[in-house]
Amino acid sequence: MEHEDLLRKLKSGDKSAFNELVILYGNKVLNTCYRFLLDKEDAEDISQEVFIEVFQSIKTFRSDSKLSTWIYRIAVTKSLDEIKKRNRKKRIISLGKMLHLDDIADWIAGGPMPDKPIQEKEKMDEIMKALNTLPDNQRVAFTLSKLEGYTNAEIADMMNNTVEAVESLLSRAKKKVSAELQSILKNN
Amino acid sequence: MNDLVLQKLKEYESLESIKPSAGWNESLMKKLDSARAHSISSHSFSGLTIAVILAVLINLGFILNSIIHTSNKSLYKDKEFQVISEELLINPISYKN
Repeated sequence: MEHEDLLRKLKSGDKSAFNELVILYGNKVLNTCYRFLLDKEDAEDISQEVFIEVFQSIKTFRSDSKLSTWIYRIAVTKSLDEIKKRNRKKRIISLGKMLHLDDIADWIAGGPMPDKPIQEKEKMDEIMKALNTLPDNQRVAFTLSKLEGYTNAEIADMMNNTVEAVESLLSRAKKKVSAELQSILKNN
Repeated sequence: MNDLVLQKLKEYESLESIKPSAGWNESLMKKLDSARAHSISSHSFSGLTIAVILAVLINLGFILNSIIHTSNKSLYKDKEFQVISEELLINPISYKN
């Protein structure tokens, strides 16, 4: 299906066009979310949210950028939102623990933190902590650069930035992540 | 220490791609169907809302119209009573005298 044809069908609410879209971009959206969240279950949930958002907002898509860029941008925004939600939850729970109000803190945070013994997640715990210290733009540039299939030009397009700016963000992000990792590993 | 950092970064870089679980596509299609149904019902709900608002506005128009006409009529009646009372020489001053 041609890009314009697909877009026209998507805008008219054609179900088969959405199936086509999921086949085309599902895997990359899922893996983009996974790179940010480092949790398969969460990545699956968020990637589904991405496609629902695409379905709900496709009529407002004005072809200023490529359809794929627009979809990946939604995936990045949703993943960052999920990370912020997670970090907020963690802060509330640790504050609750400090005040010996574990149950209330769980309730305020919207349920207990999932206690999933995921090997991958544990293995990536230090890097996740280091990434959490980065500003959003550095984090996005760094994470996407580690994903197969994203060139600096594409990252720049997604971030509404120039390639030079992305390269600068990447170099600062690498330095900061290395320094943070060093201090985290030192304290462990 | 630097080796450890490099190793961690390498682990992150070499993170393998994942494949969606078996039910992922099916569950996404279900969610899409429910989002579609929700958007249809919200469209019909907004149509109904507009109809109700229009009915209320028309009703308000009728009420205002009837209020204005009633007050005009009462003014007219007041004038009539004044004329009659003057003809009968019933006014507060003459009555007192």
